Amino acid sequence: MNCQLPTSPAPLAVFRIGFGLMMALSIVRFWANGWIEKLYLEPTYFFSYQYFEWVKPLGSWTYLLFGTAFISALMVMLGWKYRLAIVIFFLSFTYIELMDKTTYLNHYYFITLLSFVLIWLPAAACFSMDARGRKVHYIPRWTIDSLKIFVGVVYFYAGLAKLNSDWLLEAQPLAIWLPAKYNIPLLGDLLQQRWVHYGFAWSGAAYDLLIPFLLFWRPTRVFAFVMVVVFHVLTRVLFPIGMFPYIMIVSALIFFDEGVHERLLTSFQKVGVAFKHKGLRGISILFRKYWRSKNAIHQVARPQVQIKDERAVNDTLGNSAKMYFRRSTGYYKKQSALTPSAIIVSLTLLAHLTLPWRYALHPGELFWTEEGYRFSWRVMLMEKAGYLTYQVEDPSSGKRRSVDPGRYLTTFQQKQLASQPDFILEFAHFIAAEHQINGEPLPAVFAESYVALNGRGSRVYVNPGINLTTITTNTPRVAWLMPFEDEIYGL
Amino acid sequence: MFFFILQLIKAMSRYLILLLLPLLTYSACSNPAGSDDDDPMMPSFDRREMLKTWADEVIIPAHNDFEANLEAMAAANEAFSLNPGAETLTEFQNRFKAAYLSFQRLDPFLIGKGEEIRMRELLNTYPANVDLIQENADSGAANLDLPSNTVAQGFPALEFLLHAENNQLLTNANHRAYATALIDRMLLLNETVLTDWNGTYRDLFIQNDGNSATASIDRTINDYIFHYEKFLRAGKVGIPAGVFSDDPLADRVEALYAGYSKELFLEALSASRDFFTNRGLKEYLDVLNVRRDGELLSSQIEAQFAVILEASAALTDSFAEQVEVDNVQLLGLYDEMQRLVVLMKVDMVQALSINIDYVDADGD
Repeated sequence: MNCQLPTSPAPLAVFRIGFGLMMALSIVRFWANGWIEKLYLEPTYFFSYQYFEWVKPLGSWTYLLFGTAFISALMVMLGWKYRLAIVIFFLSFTYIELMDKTTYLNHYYFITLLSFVLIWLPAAACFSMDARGRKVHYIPRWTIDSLKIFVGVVYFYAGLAKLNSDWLLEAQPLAIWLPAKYNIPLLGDLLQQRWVHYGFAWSGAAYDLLIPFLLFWRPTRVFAFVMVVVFHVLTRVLFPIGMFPYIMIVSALIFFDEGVHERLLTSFQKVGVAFKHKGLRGISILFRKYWRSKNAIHQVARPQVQIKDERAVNDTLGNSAKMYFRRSTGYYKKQSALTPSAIIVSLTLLAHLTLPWRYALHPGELFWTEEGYRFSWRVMLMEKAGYLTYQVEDPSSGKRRSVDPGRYLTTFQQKQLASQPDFILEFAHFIAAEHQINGEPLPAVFAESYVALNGRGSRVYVNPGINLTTITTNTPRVAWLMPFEDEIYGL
Repeated sequence: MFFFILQLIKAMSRYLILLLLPLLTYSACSNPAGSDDDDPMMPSFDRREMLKTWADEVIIPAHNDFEANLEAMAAANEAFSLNPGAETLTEFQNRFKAAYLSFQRLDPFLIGKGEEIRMRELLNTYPANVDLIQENADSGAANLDLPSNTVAQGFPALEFLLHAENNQLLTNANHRAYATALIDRMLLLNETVLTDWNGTYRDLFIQNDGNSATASIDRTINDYIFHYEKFLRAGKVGIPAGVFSDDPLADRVEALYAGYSKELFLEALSASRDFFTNRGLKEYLDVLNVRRDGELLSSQIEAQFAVILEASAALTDSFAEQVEVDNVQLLGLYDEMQRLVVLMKVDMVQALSINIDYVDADGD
């Protein structure tokens, strides 16, 4: 398969519009829920990612940051100054995510990654304000395939991560989470049943592993997309996962053929025209921008009509792309195989594929040490809760006192702190500095901590005899955590 | 056959979007934390029934009982004011103690209005500010609504007036008037909360039987554990024992002047224990068959309550005295209480999927 084959820009345009819209809505929702205030203005301490300690909330300016992300998301949707808009969106969104590690979610990372990739793709080649008056017929096929791979890997890796004994043999943590959803209409009673927990666990793993392939293979594509919708709607009903289900549903559209996307774009256009005819001028302005660019889409649509005449309608994407190719040899010649964009996207893809395996470099049980747990599409795998206080020992008198981290942190931050080693270590250093008396050496800080993982009883977590100020981020976590007494088999 | 199914799926796919539309709308509109539907409960365990028990058999009776005790104390105060003497003072002190004890049974359940008006802080912030009490009594016109006066009212302030050495209650009419003002305020605060419960709040409380950060079960359990951790474990034991400071702080005990910190502690402990064992939580855990290390979690929690009771058996009535004489015993009690925090706050909360935050946030 030659990935340099040119293809219709319509799928990328639909993806761009959907992505921009979802992002704009997510930001509005985040803002409306008061989370900017609650998560970035109210706390006085923020947990940092390694090397990004300099990224902090900006006080009241944080609102401007969210405003910037919102406006750039709208610009992405409209395809107006696309390249600039997506760069600004990537930077502002990533900055927001780096401000406090407490709020880390895999799907936020997914958005950071996608927006970075989108910088290098010609997503505004058609049906965009940028494309007004310009004729872009074809784009290299790898630009669409790369997005399919990005989305597919997320599912597949999430499925691989579920192949462990807690998930498959104990149905954990679902066996803890599902019974609590007792008052969901119709499902409430079923969710109390043990076999239902197993059913959800196994079918969830199978879904994640198979869905990229079912979406990729044309005969199963529609069925797979229906599964995507059902699965994500179900997760939306069962778990508080915000906009993520909708983002994934929109993302999965990328697997459809260009014909589907062209029809979608045409119906967008019709909506715009309808608004115009009904005299809703205000609303139609938005669509009119697209409407003006209808030249661009017609350029794309026309060759396909000709293909239909040649009865190539049921050809695979690859074959119809070849036909485009024959009619537009000039375009292909201009494209060299290794454009900077292609190289950057390939490298990102490589990181996307390899990063989740980095946990193998660290000793100890991944669920216990969490060394290499983030950025790995390990979703919904753990119910891990903890309890933590620090003991601060005065260096000269040797007297100890208990320090409650709740004095400095929000409930949400405390919850994250109690079960994640990098949080515990970072905050131990902060507590030490906080309790250091001028001119005196740094006090020793010990953690009194307990963690319960996936239905096991609570256990002492951090070795209570270790002075955490002597530990750095490079110290292997097995050296300062208590050993995990159980065994979890699998990936 | 396979081909046929494919054709069927293909044919259906045109209409599938119509099928999916209601599903999507449902998910968009439904609150995953759903709190307003009266759907079938789990057959074996009725959560709404548990909330009813909490409201009708624990919280409202505790407020009623507290009110009766406050009124008895107010009557004793009135009798004393009319006829200040050793005998009426003793009666006043006895009624005060009874009211203080009954407050311990109410303390873990100050939710809703009680939380909103900061009833716990206003009634039982100790140590009281002695200078401010004197000043307020002398001025005769203290505004007890001021946040700065939190430390000069409630039980600790009244206790100072009643029990401090060289107390002036017999001799100083200003002190008697201040005592009356303090009691009136306590009555008013409890009445405010009770009126709310007897009005609409009871039904709202019971109907909000979902699973979310703002649902009644989650909030009540959070408040219950919060009370155990902050006020029973830290306030009554840990702080005076010096767990949070370099040295013990004997003057931070509850009932510093009256000297019955242990009785108050035991009453609060018994209220906590009763709530766990007899009011639904234990049963809830057992219905879900929550086992940790092969043993029922509820048995572990009950056993730990027993251990705590045992660890407190040998303590003297006044924890201030205990701190000075043998603080190690108090520290030992603290350690046992700490174990129970872990069992409840980590294991129990996790097993029941209680949301520990007050605001819902997204997860993965």
